[in-house]
Amino acid sequence: MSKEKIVINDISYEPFESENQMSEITSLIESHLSEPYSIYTYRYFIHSWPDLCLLCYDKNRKCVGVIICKLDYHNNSYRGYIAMLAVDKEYRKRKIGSTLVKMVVNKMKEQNADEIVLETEKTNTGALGLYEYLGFIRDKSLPRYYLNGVDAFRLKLFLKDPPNLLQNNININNENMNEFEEYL
Amino acid sequence: MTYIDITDLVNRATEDFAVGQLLKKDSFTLYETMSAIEIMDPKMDSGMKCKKPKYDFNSLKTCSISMEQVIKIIDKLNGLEVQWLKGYMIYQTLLTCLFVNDPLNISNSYLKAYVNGLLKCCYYSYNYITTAAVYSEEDFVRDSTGFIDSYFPKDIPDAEIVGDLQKIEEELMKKLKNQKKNNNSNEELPEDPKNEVEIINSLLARIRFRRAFLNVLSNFVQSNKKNMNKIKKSITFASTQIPIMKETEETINADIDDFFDENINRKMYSQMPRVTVKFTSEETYEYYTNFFNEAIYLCSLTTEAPYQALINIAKKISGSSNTSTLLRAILHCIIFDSNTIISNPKESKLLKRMNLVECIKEWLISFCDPVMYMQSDNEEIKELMNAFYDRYLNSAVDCIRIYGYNRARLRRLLVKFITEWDKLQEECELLDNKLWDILVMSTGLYNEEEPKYYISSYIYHIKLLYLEEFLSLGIELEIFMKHELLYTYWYLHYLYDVHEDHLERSEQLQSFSSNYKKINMKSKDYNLEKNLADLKLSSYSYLYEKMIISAHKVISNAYVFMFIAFRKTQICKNPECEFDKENVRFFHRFKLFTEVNSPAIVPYEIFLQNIEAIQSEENSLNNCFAYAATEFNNAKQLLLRIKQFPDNVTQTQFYHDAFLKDIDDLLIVVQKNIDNINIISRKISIFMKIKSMNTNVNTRKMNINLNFEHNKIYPIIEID
Repeated sequence: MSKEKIVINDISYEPFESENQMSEITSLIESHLSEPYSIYTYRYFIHSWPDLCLLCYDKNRKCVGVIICKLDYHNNSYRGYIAMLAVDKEYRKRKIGSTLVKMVVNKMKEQNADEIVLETEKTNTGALGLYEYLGFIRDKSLPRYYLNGVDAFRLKLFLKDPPNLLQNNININNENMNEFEEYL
Repeated sequence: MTYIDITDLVNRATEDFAVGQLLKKDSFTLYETMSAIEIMDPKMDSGMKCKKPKYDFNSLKTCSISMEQVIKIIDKLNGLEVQWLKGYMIYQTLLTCLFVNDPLNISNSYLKAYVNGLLKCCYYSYNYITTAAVYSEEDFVRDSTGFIDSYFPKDIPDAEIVGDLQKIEEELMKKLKNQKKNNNSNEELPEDPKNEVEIINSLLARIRFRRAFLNVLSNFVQSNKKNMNKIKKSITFASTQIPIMKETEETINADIDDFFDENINRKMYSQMPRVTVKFTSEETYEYYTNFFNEAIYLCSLTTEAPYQALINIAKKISGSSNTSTLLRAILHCIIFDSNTIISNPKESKLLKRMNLVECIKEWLISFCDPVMYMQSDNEEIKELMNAFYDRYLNSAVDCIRIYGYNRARLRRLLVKFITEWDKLQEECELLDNKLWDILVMSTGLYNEEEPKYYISSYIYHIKLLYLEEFLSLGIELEIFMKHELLYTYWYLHYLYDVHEDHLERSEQLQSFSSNYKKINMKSKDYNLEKNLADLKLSSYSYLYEKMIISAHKVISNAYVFMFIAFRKTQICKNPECEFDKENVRFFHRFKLFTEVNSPAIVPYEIFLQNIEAIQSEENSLNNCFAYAATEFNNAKQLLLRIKQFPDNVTQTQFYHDAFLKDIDDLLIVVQKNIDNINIISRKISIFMKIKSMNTNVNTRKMNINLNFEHNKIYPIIEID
């Protein structure tokens, strides 16, 4: 497990190290996410996939961001899951969130993940903008997904290239595709 | 039971643990961690900070309640009823009201009558929803304990409950009359006579509303013509009460907090998380208004109708912004006669009268008229056709049932559904070959002819409709983002093009049938026109079907050209991130097409080749806008003609006014886009000129706005 710290714009990005960080993780997440999570939920993710839990600290060692993920088999795919992402309100608009996501995406790619999924509230335009900028697409609409009755989108990032359908001799109906040329 | 103190054992067993280390069984998965609660955490433990309520059930029996309080309690109960119907648990909504837990002992007669009326409505709603069974966990929570039954006054006859409500209405009317009389004679005036009248009127409107709502729900159970007329009247009556309730909701004030307790569920059989269900009165009245607006369409469901018309009404209710789980459940209970169709589709009757196999036959006749098989005396052909009807029954039922589910789930359901239809089509191609062989053998004719694919053509037509809907839903549910719309409309255009060709080919089957009849059947024995007239179908339906597909095709094409222009000018471009790959997105968006046999998947490379060919043409920007305008104008002509078709051709017998409004709305979109194209094209060319002079100009500063107000799939495009 790599324990290296990366410093970008005075913010230090570090993998999870010990249980002592648990209280700063929970307090940051509890103050920013609507769902209440039990301590078991945090431990389930962090102890099973510690390398996919990243924290970031400012110069004064204040924890200002955290991302918690898992990577497991789901049906036939090796699927990463971003369970929680929170950035301190005072530290937003500094690309901390997108940097955290990029870091875990790269880690999951290294571990040969097929795809990464997450859920976000339909009304959370900030989160939607962030993930869509990174190439995530909306995969499903999840009505009344959260306890507060708010709808969600499941977002997905596909990490593997698709098969080449042309080379695979799939029967292509070119006849219908020539239509555009008629207009020109 | 003997309890053993294991504290010491646990302490010793965990002595070697590091801080935070967790011992768990493999079966303690994410689901269990999410469901676990931490005792004494106020966010999770419903026992925390529990204030003792002012009333218990005994003291509640004797407490006095003012008329204003009754009104406010009713308003809150209405809000909670709507939240329950929207998917919250009954224990978190209606059963947080102390009176609802003990309705027979309510001392206030107004409130007692109202609560019983409300609970009877809940009884009907619960039965419709659970019987139709077209809901998912987020739409409705079925009570697995069975205790819910004890809360509904199912043993009290409707007539008694309605009678009690009527008595209250009469009493209030009398009070109102006296009040007005007193006001005129200036005798025994209360402190604020105007307010007094308003309070009585407010309560009267609420009692009337509940009685009418109960009448609507109870009469839908017996959906005969007489009852449907009663329902229409009740809907109008209930709807006229809503504005009065709305108006008086804010002017009447009373404290009712002591009559509700979110923690009451702790004492019940079912332990629920303590969730404060939040709602607004606006949301409540909107729900009721929408319900009545749409329920009126269900009242026309008593006439005999072709199966396609039933599918269309189910589709209309599913796609309406007024839809709800209750409404869709009632529709399914009416069509499928309380869902007996699921257990025995062959013997069940649709709308209590129509046999499903007969409906399928009618549908098949109107599409391609396979007279040589349907009217055949050949035992082998008869057997094969009967086997087809049996095989097809469940798929035909699903054509309607699928629209009962929450629309947000429809896309996912369609994936399974389309795959099933693809298999069916494959089987039907074999069936067509077999039928053809028997026909050739038995008649000694058509040896030189290619086999005619009657049944599979019909199945393919339906499959194409669902594929088109699958893609369109991606836009409607906002799953496809702005930068994905180019390939989405492009693929839709492809599908409509394939469909148009397919209809052309299928129409020829009717000509073959017609010739077959001339040669092999006496005209008195069989006449398609007469048959269709009997079925209230029209032989012109092909013209309509082709026209509607063509309209969609040209509209999709217009958007393709618009988005090519936006892509070329980089006003709408792909995310500039290393993880985003358009070819990967394209593959996954249209992955379903790799899993079906037809139509052929069109790979990303072909899409790109087409788009780039158009983009690289000289003067391509102006061309794109010109082609888009031409296509929108073509669409306009088609839509105007579509509007002229009668409802038995469009199969919109149950909602023809709403169908015409949808066409009008689409015409607005088309016309606005025609008008906007000139402005957009001018703005872009100015912008591009500035950009060519100054390369630092950012095209992201130009934004396209997509306005889906008039149509959920085709937006009005504006630029700023």
